[in-house]
Amino acid sequence: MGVNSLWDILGPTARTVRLEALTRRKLAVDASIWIYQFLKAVRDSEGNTLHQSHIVGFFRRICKLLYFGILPIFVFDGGAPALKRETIQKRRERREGKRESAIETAHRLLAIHVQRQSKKRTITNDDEVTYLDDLSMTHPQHVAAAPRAKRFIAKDEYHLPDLKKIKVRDTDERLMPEEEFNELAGESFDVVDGININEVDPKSEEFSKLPMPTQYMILSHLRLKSRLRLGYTKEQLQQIFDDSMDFSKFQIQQVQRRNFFTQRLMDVSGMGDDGNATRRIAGEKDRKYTLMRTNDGWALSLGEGSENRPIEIEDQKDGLYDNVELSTQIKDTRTPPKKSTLKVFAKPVKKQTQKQDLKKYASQPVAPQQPMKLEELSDSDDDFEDIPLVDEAPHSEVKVEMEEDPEQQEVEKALVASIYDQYKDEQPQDEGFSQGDLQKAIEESKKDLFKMEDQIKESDMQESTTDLDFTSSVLFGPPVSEASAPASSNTVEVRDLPSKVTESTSILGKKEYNSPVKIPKEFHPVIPQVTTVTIDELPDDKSKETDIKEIEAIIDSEDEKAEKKRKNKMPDWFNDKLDQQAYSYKVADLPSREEIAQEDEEAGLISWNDAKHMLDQQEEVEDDSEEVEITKVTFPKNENEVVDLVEDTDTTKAEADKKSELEREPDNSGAIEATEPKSSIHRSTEEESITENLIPEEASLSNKNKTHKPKQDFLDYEFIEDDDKAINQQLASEYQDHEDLKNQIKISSEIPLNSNTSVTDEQLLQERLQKQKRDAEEVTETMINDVQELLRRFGIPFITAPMEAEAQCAELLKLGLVDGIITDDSDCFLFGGDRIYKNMFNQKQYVECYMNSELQRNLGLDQHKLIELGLLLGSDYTEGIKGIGPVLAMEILAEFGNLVNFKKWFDNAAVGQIDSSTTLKKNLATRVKTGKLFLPPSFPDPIIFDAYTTPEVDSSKDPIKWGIPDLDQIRSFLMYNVGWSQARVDEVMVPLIRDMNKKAREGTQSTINEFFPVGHTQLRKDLKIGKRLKAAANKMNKQ
Amino acid sequence: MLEGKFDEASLLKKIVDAIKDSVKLCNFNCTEHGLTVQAVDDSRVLLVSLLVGQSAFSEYRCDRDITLGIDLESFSKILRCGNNEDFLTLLAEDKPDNVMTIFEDKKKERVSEYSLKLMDIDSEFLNIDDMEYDSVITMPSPEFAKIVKDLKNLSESLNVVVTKDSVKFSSEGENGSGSVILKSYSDMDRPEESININLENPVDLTFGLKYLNDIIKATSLASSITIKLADKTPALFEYKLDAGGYLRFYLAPKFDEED
Repeated sequence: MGVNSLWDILGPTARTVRLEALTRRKLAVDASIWIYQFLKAVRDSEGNTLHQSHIVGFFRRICKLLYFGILPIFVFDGGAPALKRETIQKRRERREGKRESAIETAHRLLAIHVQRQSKKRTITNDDEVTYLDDLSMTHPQHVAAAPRAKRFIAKDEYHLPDLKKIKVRDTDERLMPEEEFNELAGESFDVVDGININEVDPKSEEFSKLPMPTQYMILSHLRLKSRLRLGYTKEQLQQIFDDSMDFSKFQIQQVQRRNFFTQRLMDVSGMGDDGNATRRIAGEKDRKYTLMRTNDGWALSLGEGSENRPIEIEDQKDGLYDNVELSTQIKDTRTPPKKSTLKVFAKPVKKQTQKQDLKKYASQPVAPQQPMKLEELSDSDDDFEDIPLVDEAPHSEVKVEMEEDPEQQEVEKALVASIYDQYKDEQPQDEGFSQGDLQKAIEESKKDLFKMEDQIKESDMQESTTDLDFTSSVLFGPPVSEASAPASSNTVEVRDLPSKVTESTSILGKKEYNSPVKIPKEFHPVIPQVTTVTIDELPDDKSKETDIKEIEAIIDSEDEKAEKKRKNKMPDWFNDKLDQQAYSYKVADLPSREEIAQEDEEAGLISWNDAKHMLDQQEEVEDDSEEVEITKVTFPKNENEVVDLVEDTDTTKAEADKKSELEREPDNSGAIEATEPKSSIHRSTEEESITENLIPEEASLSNKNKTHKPKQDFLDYEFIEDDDKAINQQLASEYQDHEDLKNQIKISSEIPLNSNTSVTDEQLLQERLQKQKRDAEEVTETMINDVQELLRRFGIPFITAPMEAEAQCAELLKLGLVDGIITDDSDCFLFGGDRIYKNMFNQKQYVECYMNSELQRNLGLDQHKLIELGLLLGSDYTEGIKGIGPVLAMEILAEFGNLVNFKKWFDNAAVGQIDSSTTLKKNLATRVKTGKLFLPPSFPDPIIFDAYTTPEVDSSKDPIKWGIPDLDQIRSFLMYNVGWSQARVDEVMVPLIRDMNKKAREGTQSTINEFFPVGHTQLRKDLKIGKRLKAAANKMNKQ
Repeated sequence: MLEGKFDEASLLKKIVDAIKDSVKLCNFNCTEHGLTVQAVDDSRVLLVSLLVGQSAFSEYRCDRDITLGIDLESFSKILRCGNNEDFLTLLAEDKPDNVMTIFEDKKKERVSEYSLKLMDIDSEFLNIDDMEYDSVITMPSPEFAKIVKDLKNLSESLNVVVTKDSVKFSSEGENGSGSVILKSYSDMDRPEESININLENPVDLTFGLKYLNDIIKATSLASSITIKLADKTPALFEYKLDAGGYLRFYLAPKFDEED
C-alpha cells in the first residue's frame, strides 16, 4: 500500500497530536484498506478469522472516532485504476511465481475452448463417422483392447484401461435428439407426467382418478421430497427458523408428512387397506412365501392354502404388547407393515438376515442378553425353520440331521444350540403344564409351521405355565414353537411327537425324576386353554401316551445324536428333565430355583434347600450329559414363598445352554425386562387353570395371582414406554438420516458434479476460476455493504470514490469539506493530501500528523517530488526501480533535480558517456555497469504523473452532514450480524451515546485553533533525520 | 546571551506553577523586551500567553532572541529548591542546550546553581489580534477562584451570562445545579475588591470547568482578574503582574451541536 518506504522518509516530520485536539474536526477516513486489515489481523486465539471481523473492527474504530468528537466521513474504494491493477498483478506474479490470476485462467480456458472448437470442426467434417452398432468388429473395447493389450499394465487392481471415445454423428437417428435429451434431462423433479407434485393434493378425488403409476410416482416423489430440507442450507434454515424449536416442529411435521405419503404409497402399491390381500414374496418348489394381510397387519404364509394360517410376523415388542392387551386372546398378530415386510424378506433369505431379525427380536425383550447367545438363538431359529422345510418326519432326529445338512460350519453349532433351545423352550412349557403346552404348541404348529414367533407368543398366552415358562417362551419361545411346528408336520400325532419331544427335553432338563403320571395331570388343565387357541385338541390320553412314547423315542434318538456330538447332552437332559419334571410335580414344593453351576445371580433369592436340591439334580444331569453345560435357571421372583415354589417348579427348566443364561438375566432383572411382565400376565390368566389342575395349593396360586397383577400394570407401562422409546429412536435415526442427507446435499452442492467421470484440466480450471471469483467477491460485496449499513445507523456519512479512496480524500480536503485525512496509505501525499493523520487507531493518546508544509520545509518534498519518489521506490502505480531505497532515492532527486535528468544521465551512461562528477554519480555509474541499475525506456512514465495529479475523483462540493447514532438500530445490527448480546453492545454504546448527549446538552468544546490563525510556527531545529537524508533534503530545499 | 535576575524567586515560581498544569512543555521566548510564552494545551482548548516585562526583572539583558524549550515540570522542581525571597537569575547562551538557574540567598552568602536541559519543542504562534469584547468583567481573583471551585463540584461546564450590571455563573449537573450572581460593586477603600462589569452586548457562554480550574491556579499572581467575553469567541482571563507583564489565558468556549 502506498509508496514503498515513504513513511520511513516522512516519519521524522510527523507531529504528534492529542486525540482530544481533533474534537469537532471533520476528517476524511480512508476506509479502503480497513476491511483487508481486519480480515488479516482480527483473529481468534487459534488464528482463525473471526466471523464478521470487519463489522467488529469498524464498530470499534467508529466508536473511538465518535468518542473523541471527531466528525468522520468514510471514503471507500470505488475501483482500482488499470495502472494499479497492472502493478499489483505484476508484483504478485513476481512474488508468487507462476501462479495464475483469474484473468489468465480465463484466458487459458478460452484457449482450450478455442482449441477444442477447432478440433470439433475437423471431426464433424469427417464423413467416416460410423454408427456405434456398426462397429461390431471394431467395437471400442476391442479396438482399445487389441492394441493396448500389449502396453497396458495395471498399476493396481482398480486400474482399468482407457476406453476410446465413441464418436457419434449428430444426425444419427438412433440417438435421442439433443433437444429432446435436454428436455428430459431438464425435467424437474417436481413434475410427474406434467403434473406439478407440489400442487397435487393426494387426498383429493382428482388424484385418485389418476392412473396408478402416476399416483405412485407422485407419491414417491412427494415422499422423497419430504425428506429433503427443501434445498436450504443450514444458515438459511437458521434464518427461516429463528427458534430451534420451530425447526424441530417443522421436522416432525415433515415426518408426519412422510408417514402420510408412505401410507398412501402402500395403498397405491396394493399393500394398503384396500390393496390385494396376498402377495407372493418368494417361493421354491412346492412352497411359496406369501405376504398376506390379516386383520391386524401383515403375515407371512407358506405353501398352498396357507392363507388360512399365515405365519404372523411380529415384533417382539408388538407381540408383548399384544399379549398384554390380549392376554385372553390366543392369536394376535399386530405387526406394523414395515416390520412385517422386513421379516418377510428376511425369512426367505434365511440365516443371515434372520439372524439379524432374531437378534433384534431377542434383544428387544431381553436387553441384557449377550450377543453371542442371541446369535445362537437366531441360529437355532434358522435351524428350526429349516427343519420344517426339509423334513416332515415325526422324529426329531431326522430334523436334526436335516438341519445339519443345509448349513455350514456354524450351522453345526447352531444346530446344537437350537436343539438345546428347542428343548429348553419346551421344557419351560412342560414344566408348567408341559404336556398341555406341548399340545398347544403342536396344534399351533399344525396351524402354521412357520409361525414361530406367533406361536411363541400364543403359547405364552395360552400357557398356564408359570413365569418361567413365559419367560422362557419369550426368549426361547420362537425356537420351541418352530421346532414343534416342523416336527408336528401334517398329522396331529406327528406333531405331538415333536411336541412331546420338546416336552421331554424340557422335563429332562428340569429334573431328573420323570413321572409320566404327572404329565397327564398337567396336560389336562392345559387342554382347555389350548382349545381356546383354536387348536385341534388331541385326546388327552392319546396325546399323553404318544407324547411319552415319542419322548422316549426322541430321547433315544437324541442320545444317539449326542454321541455324535451335536446333541450329546440332549438325550441326557431329556431323561433327566423328565425325571425332574415328574419329581417336581410330585413334590410340587420343589423350589427349583437352581443356579447353574456356571453362574447364578439369583442364588440369594432361592431357598437354600431348593438350591441344593436343584444342584444335586443338575449334577446328576451333568453326569449324564458329558459335554453339556448345566444351566439351571431358577426364576427368582420375589413374591411369596408359595409363589416361588410354584414358579420354581415351573421354572425349573434350567438349561445348560447359554440361552438359559440369557433367560435368567432378564428374569433376574425382572422389572426391566419385558419377558417378566409377559410371564406374569400369562400367569395370571393361566393361574386359574393352574390352580384347578396342577397346583395342589390354591393359596399359593392365589398369591401368585395377586403378586402377578401388579406386574401386569407394570407391563403396560413398560410397553408404552418402549413404544415411546421406539418412536424416539426412529426420530433420532431419521434425524440422523436427515443430517446425512444434509451433508450429502451440501457436498453435492459444493462440488459441481460433472457427469464425466474423468476430471479434465478444463474442469479444474473452471473450479479455480469460480473460487477466485468467490474470493474476490467476498471482500467487495457483502462486507462493504455490512460496513456501510453500520455507518448508516451511526449517522456517519460515507462516499464511495469513483476510483481510489485516497485520491478522493485528498480531493475532499482540497475542496475544504474536511479538515484532515485519516489514512495509513502514503499514496495520499502523492494525490496532494495534506494534514494526514496516521496511526489513528494505535491505542495511543497521540496521533501522528503529517503536513505538506512540514514535508516541504524539512525534506524539500512537494507533490511532484513525492511522485518522483514513488516512481523510484515503487508504488501502487509503478513497480519502481530495483535496487533503489529511500535514502538513495532522495539523494538521486537532490542530485539530479528531477527524474528526467536522471534518465538522461542514465541513457548517457548506458552508451558509455558516464558522467561521474560527484560521488553519487560515481556510485550510480558502477551500478549501471554491473547491471544492478536499470531504468526502463518509458521511465519516468508521464502516465503515472497524470494518474496522481489528476485522479478520477468526485469533486462535488455538497456539504457533508452528520447524523445521530441510532442506538436501537446499532444494537439490532450487531446482535444479528455479529451475534453480540445486547449487554455487549450497550457496554460501549451506552456510555458513548451518553457522552454525546452530554456534549449536546452542555455544548462541545471548541478549540483555540478555530479562532486564532497560526501566525508562524516555531519548528524543531533538529528532526531525527539521517545524515544523508538530511543532506539531500537540504540540497533539495536549496534548489 | 540571556541574563535575567528576579528580585524574588517567588514570582517565577508562581508563574510556572500557574501554567505547568495546562502546558507541559513550552518555549520561553526571550527578547529584549522581556520574556514571553505562548502555548496551547494538549487538547488545544486553552492558550496560555505570558509576558514578563523587562521591568519585572531587577536586571535583564538579552542581546538576541533566545528560545528556551522548557519542561515545566522539571523546571518547577528546580524552582522549588530556592527560597521565595532569594534572588533568582536565569542564564542561557545564545544557542543554549541548557539554562542555568541561580539562587542567591539575600542574607547568607549562599549560592545554588541548577542547570536544566532544554527541549526541542514544536510550537506554533497564533496571531491573537486585539479583539473587541462584548463585555469585560473585573473582579477579585480569589472571588473568581471560589466560584470555579464551588461550581466545579456540580458539573463540568460553567455557564456565564452577562446582563446589564450583573454576571451570572451557573452550573447544571446531574445531581443538581448552582449559580452565583455578582453585581457591580465598588469598594473605594480596597479597590481590588471591586467588581466592575462593563457590558456592550449581552453574553451567554459556556466553558469547561476543567480548564477554568487550571486557570485559577494563577490566582496568587494578581489580586484581581479581568475576564473579557465575546460571543462565540474564546474568553480572555487576564492576571496582571504587579511588576509588569501579564498572564493571559484564552479559553475556547463550548458550543451547542447546532452551532
